[in-house]
This record gives sequence, C-alpha cells and structure tokens, in this order.
Amino acid sequence: MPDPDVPKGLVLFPPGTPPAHRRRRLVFFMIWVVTAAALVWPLYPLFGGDAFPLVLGLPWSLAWLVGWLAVIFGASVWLYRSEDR
Amino acid sequence: MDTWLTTVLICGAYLLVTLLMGVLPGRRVTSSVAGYVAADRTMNVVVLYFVLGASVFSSFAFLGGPGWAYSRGAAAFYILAYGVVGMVPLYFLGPRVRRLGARFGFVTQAELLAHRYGSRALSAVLAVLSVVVFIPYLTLQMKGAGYILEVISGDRIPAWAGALAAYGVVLVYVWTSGVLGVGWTNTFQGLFMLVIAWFLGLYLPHTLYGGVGAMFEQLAAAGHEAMLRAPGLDAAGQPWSWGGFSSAVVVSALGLSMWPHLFMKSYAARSERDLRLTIVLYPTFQLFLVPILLIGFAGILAFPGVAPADTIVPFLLTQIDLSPVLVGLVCAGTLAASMSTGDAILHAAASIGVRDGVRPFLTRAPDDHTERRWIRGLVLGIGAVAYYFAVASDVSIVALLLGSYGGVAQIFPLMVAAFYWPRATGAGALAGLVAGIGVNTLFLLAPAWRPLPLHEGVYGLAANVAVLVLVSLATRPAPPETLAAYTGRLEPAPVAPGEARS
Repeated sequence: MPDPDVPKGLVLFPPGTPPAHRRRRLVFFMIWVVTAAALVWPLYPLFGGDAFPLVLGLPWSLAWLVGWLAVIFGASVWLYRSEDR
Repeated sequence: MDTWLTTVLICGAYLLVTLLMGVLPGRRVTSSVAGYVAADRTMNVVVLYFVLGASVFSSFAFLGGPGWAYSRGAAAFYILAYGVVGMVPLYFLGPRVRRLGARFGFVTQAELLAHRYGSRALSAVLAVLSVVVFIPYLTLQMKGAGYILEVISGDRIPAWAGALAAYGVVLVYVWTSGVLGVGWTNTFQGLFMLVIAWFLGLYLPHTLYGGVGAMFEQLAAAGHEAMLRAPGLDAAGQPWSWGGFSSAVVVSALGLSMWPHLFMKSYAARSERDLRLTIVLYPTFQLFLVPILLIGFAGILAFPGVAPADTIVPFLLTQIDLSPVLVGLVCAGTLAASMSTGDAILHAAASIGVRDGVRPFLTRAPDDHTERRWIRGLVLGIGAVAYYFAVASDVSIVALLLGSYGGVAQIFPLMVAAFYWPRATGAGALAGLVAGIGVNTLFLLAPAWRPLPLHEGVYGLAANVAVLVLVSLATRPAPPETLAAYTGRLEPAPVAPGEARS
C-alpha cells in the first residue's frame, strides 16, 4: 500500500509558506497563464493577428507579442522586487 | 586592401579575442568537476544573463530567423512568442534546483531527476536523449559558422576550414576552462550579438525603405499583407494553420527551460537571488529577435527570390553598400551566435555523457580528476563527431533539430512533478518519459498519422502525463526523506558560495 503520509494531490508550496508569498506567486502564475493564452489560438487571432495598425512601425501582429513580452517583464520585476526584501 | 580580406581579418580578430577570453578564466576555478561543470556555483547575474541569452540564440536565430521572416512572414513570430513565457518556469524551479545541487553535489539535470525518482535507468534515458539532440544541434552550429566564413570570403575559405577555425577555438576554451570559458566568452559574444542585431535590424529598413513603418507599409501595398498577418505562411507559401502555430509555441515554450545545457546553469548561479534576477531580465535579451526579424522582412521587396531563404543575411551583406569593416563585424556577430550556443552544448553534452551516462553505472565512482579527464575526452569526441556530420554528411539535420524540441519538452512533466507532486514515482517518471519520447518520435517520423495537424510534441506530452499519473498511482512513492528535500522547505546549505562540494 502507498505511504498514507504522502499527499495525493499537488503540493504547490512548502508547509509554512507565508500567505502573502503564496498570494503573490499565484497572481503571477495567473498573469503567466493569461500571457501564454494570448500567444496562441484563440486569443491571438481574435485580438492580435492583424497586420494593421502599425505600432512604432511594427505590424500589429508583432507589436502584440512585444506588448506581452513587456507584460511578463513587468510582472516578473514586480514579483522579484516583492520577494527580494 | 581587398574587401574580403578586411572582413576576414575582422573575423580573425574576433576569434582571437574570444580565445583569450575563454582561456583566461580557467585559472579561476578549482580543478574539480563542480568547477569544470558548474563553475564552483559562482556565476553572477551579468555572466548568467549572457550565458542564458547567448546560448538560446544560435546561428539559427541569426540565419534561420531572418530566413523564416523572409519566406514565411509572421510565421517567424513563433520564435518570439515561445520565448515570452518559456523561461518563466526556471524562476520557480531554478532556485530549488540550485539549493539541491549545492546540498547533494548535482551538476546535471538528470542527476537531480535520478535522485528524486530513485532511478538509474532514468539517468541513462536522459543521457541518451541529451546526446541525441545535442549532436545535430552542434552540427548545425558548425555548419552555420563554416557557411558564413565561406560566403564572406568569396569562397576563398572553404566551409570545412571555417568550421574548423571557429570550433577549434571553442574546443580549446571549453577544454581549458569548462563552463567558465563558456560564461566569459558568452558575455562577450552576447553583447556583440545584441549590438549587431539592433544595428542591422534598424539600418536595413531605414536604408532600403526609409524606415521600419515605411517598410511594412510598402510590403502591404505590394500585396504581401498576408505575410504580416499572424500566423504567416507555411513552408509551401500557403497560410499556416493556427493549430500548427499554437502547438509549436506551446511545445517550444515548455521545452525551452528544459534544454539540459540551459537548465544546468541553475547550478552555476552564485545565489538564488542572482538566478531569479537573471530570469526576470531575460525578456530584455529576447527582445533582440525583433530587429533579427526586421532583417528578414527587409529582404522581401528589395531582393526577391533568394533561395534557400536561410541565406538571406549573407546575401544582403554582399548586396548592400556597407563598409567592409561593418560586414566583418556582422559576420563576427553571426559567428558569435553560432559559437556561444555551440560551446554550451559541447560542454553540456560531454558533462552529461560522463555524469549521467557512465558514472551511475560504475561499481566504484571515479575520483574527481579522473572524471574531469573523461569529460574533457568526451568534449573532443563529441566535437569530432559533430564536425564529421557538419562537413562530410548530407543528412538533413534541420528537421532533426526542429523535431528535437518535442523530445526535450518531454522532460517538463517530470520536472514539475518532481517538485510539486510528491505522489510521482520513479516507475511513473520513467514510463511517462519513454511513452512521451516514443509517441513524439512516432508522429515526427509519420506525420500523416497525427489525428490533427498539431506539433508532434503535443501528443507526446499527452501520453507522457497520462502514463506518469497512472503508473505513479499504481506504484510506491519515494521515501519521505527524499520527498522532503523536493517538496518541503529546504533551508539553503550553510556553505559559503564558491566553496567546492563533493
């Protein structure tokens, strides 16, 4: 029989992790999931797939990706700063 | 002086600087395996940033990326898209990996998984997988280096000699300095690549069309608007399917952080803080794909019909009126892209071959010096094999390399389960990995059998996760003390950074 002490489900945080730390990481994870979704079907074709308008000279379809790169960068900076105190 | 000679001399100067930067740091690490493979765990943010960036972007980014943009338009955006989210998992996994490495003396990816799952077979499978995907990867880098030198010298330097010169340099500094040679040269090469890419990517649209926006407006006006709409065109010039684009992004994003030569740099970090900050800053490197893609777009109207499309960069260089010094610098930038990836792969392949393929199966572990000697020997061996394929064989390796992303992505479920699912077992991990690689390879070789036209890695991942879960639930979990190290709160080891551990 499996060891009854071993949890069956996922253990996302080590025991004793402060709630604020958990909350921030979960918020970041949600941003990451939304970003990933924005890069593929169906969100990318719905909102980001067109050639025009040009943004800073780049086609909308490319500017869309650069925008999400900026989102991930911003979110990572926020998470890092909040954890690096 | 002849134009070609100026160009070649600049490339030669670049190679010389790289050689010096690679050989000198070898004196700064201990002569242990931890020194050779993980730099005694002392890499700071600056070096890590460039190692990560320059290792990801290879001669494929410099030659293939513009080639894709030139022939398939927005399809090339996929290489930008997967990098947006692909490095993030390492923010969460990396610090834990580093801590475990310092505690248990790991220097490779497979050592960690073999320990967590209590499975030597897993270590062997991962060693074989790594070497199988690394050799074509390295071969491609060598071909890129030989090719660029051949073109810019006007066929005076044959590809075999160019590849030999560039990779002779790589071999010397990887042999001498191990990962620290990779680190220092990548810092130089990475910086070089960034400057060259931004310069060329902004200069070409400006000089050929009067600006980046003007270039895209003229492209659309000339009837190329379909190339600017995501997801661009497929290899045959027809609109690419969203399923194909999306699944390629997903598989590559999951695979990116799992590439063994990138993943194992977690061990080399000086601290968890340095490692996290490196991952945070990574998008600033990733952004240089934008000018890289602009280079390809710049060729479409000005120079139609260049084939194969991968040759668009050297073609542009020989066609536009650029000073020979600048052409030389751009060529050196392309060499930098090739070598900064090739060195990391060569180093990782040899380290993994010995640490994961040989060491666990010996009855008596070799001493540190013997092991380092073996790794160096394998550096030579793998370099020679890749060089043979690069100059003497016509096997289509591009397809092999593109296919290998699906294989590498199969490590992802095992890695996530190692840290977040205590119930995952050794039997489950091994069965999941083998099933994933098997299904991936099957659909790679027989694309017509795919139920939907998605990337083969998606099917591999589905099989992988299903088998991992089912077999794990049917077998005994790892001992609690092992699990505690992976899912519990493991305090940082009390040893100062830089101190070698056995």
